[in-house]
Amino acid sequence: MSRSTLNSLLLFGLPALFIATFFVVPLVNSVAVSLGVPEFTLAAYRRLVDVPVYRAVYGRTLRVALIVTLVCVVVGYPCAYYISTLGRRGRIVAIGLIALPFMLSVLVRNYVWMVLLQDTGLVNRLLIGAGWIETPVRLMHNELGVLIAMANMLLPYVIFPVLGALLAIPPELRTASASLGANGARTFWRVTLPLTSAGTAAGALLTFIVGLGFYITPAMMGGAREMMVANLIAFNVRDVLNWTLAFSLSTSLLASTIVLYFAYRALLPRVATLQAI
Amino acid sequence: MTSSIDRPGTANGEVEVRGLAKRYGAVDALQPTSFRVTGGTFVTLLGPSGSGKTTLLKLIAGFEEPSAGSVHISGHAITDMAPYRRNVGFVFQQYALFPHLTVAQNVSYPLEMRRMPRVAIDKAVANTLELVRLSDLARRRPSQLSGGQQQRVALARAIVFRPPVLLMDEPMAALDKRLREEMQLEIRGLQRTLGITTISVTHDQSEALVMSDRILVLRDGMLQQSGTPEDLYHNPRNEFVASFVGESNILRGRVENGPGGPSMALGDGLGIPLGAPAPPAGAEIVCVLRPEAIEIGGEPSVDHFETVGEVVDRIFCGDVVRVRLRLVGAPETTLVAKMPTQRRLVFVPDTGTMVRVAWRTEELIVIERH
Ligand SMILES: Nc1ncnc2c1ncn2[C@@H]1O[C@H](COP(=O)(O)OP(=O)(O)OP(=O)(O)O)[C@@H](O)[C@H]1O
Ligand SMILES: [Mg+2]
Repeated sequence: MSRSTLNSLLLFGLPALFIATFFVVPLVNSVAVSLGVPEFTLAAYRRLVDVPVYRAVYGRTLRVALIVTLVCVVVGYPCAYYISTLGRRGRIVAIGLIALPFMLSVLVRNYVWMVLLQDTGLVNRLLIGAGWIETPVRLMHNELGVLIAMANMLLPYVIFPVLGALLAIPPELRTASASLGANGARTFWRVTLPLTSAGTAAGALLTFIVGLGFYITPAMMGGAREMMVANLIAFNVRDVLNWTLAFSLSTSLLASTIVLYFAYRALLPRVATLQAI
Repeated sequence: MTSSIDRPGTANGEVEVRGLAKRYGAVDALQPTSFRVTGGTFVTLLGPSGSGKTTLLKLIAGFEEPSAGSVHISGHAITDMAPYRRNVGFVFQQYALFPHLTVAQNVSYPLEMRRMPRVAIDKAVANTLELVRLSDLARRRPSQLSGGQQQRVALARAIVFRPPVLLMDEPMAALDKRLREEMQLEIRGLQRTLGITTISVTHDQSEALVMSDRILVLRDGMLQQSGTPEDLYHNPRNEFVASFVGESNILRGRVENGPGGPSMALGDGLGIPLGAPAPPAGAEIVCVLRPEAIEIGGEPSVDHFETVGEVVDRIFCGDVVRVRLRLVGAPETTLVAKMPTQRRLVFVPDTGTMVRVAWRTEELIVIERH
């Protein structure tokens, strides 16, 4: 064996071995356990469907991810649009401000939200101080708190793809639209929006996928009832030691994520071709 | 056709700009400029890069706000009108077709903006696509078209709503030479058929000469001269116009009054006779002599100025042979002459030979005097 093949074997072989040992094997194992190997039964999956609590957690997870995605699109698109109208410098500053929180740990960001949203938090004190309310409004330990914090954390997943799509539109397309008799609003509906729809869809799908797997935020911002799938998995692993159920939960979550990921991949070429023009 | 868009050009389509100017920060992109384009004519804005052609076009279309002056179409001031209300067709250099729409959808776009009924739209689109010979490609997307086809779509989209005025920014720049020459004739034909006032930008002088009723020559944001192609070619107002429109030999010298009438002294005293009216003796003048006005070889003739020159080099260009000459008595002055190519052309002077060089006196155009 030559020296260079040995080197490349080490270079790629070791990480491959590492991933196989600590990632693929446990993954395969968890799928196998969830299927009741060696017998092969779908009993664990049937429980997911049959037991109302599990159904509820699944339903909530999908609902929360969906609402958060909608909020992110509704808030993120105008943000991205505004940023696209800024000059070069303003754009860089805005992108920096949006990316900045990514450098903070999720824990820290959740604590910040707790400081803001708890009964004695900044928001409630301001509202009471302004005389708009008398008793604090519950802004956390419920689904609202989870939605607010998750939407905040997932916003960049919409803003960046939409911004990319907006900046890829040649400026003279809008000028052309104006010369053909379209005012600003109609140019937006007929030119800008269609040319950013693929980018927006990609951003929304990404938000939804990432949103499905949220764990810390529901645990910190929600109450006991705001459990999402990831929390239910942890609960089954740590507290009740029902590994079969935990594995079936995680396998089904993984499967839905993979399906969504391929949907996202199918969108990407459309985004790319639009940007190539 | 009901429309929220003003149609100032239902009348004659005359375009007039008065004192129109544009500054970008410290750059005077366009100095105060005034001209009038008669309805239905084809006018070319000709000038080198950065001379303000695009700026002028954008001001007329309303894409930019002028720093001073006004724009009028068919006698109505439209200076403060938003571009989407001006009803002016615009063909962009890069075509600016909508990539997400098919050819037919691109062309129907301006009609939809005017809220025309669907049936009427389909009819107008079909007619216009036929006009630009694109009927077969109606369902393609712009990315599936060649450059020439995209250009036709851009043109169709700009004329389908029958604007009184069509503006084009270097419409032919992205096409290869053959296609360009073909499109020049085609666009010109279309423009005549539709009777649409057209202002087209180019820095290709041959395109300007071929297509235009009138040419406006721009330089550094200043209008140099405007006139018919013949006018510009035969009576250039200054050295810039002379060298930019067509090829020219520029001669400089002082006017002298000799026994044979006024002449221009070149180099070591070679006197070139000037036609009437000649500038006063002692004046420093600049003259233009077109290459095709120079005769080489052949027999002397009474109404020609006759002299002798040495052939410096010859370049075969297909339709013509360009011959560079150094005149005897004026060694610093080289002239370029063009001889038409013919297969039976006997006389092709060799490099280094001395030949007869002659031109009619009136071919020498005095353009500047100091
Ligand atoms: N948006 C702008 N900001 C600053 N300066 C500009 C702007 N647009 C044009 N200019 C300047 O104005 C002058 C005229 O530009 P313009 O685009 O009208 O030239 P042009 O004749 O169309 O040239 P070309 O043949 O290269 O297209 C140039 O010096 C250019 O740098
Ligand atoms: Mg230009």
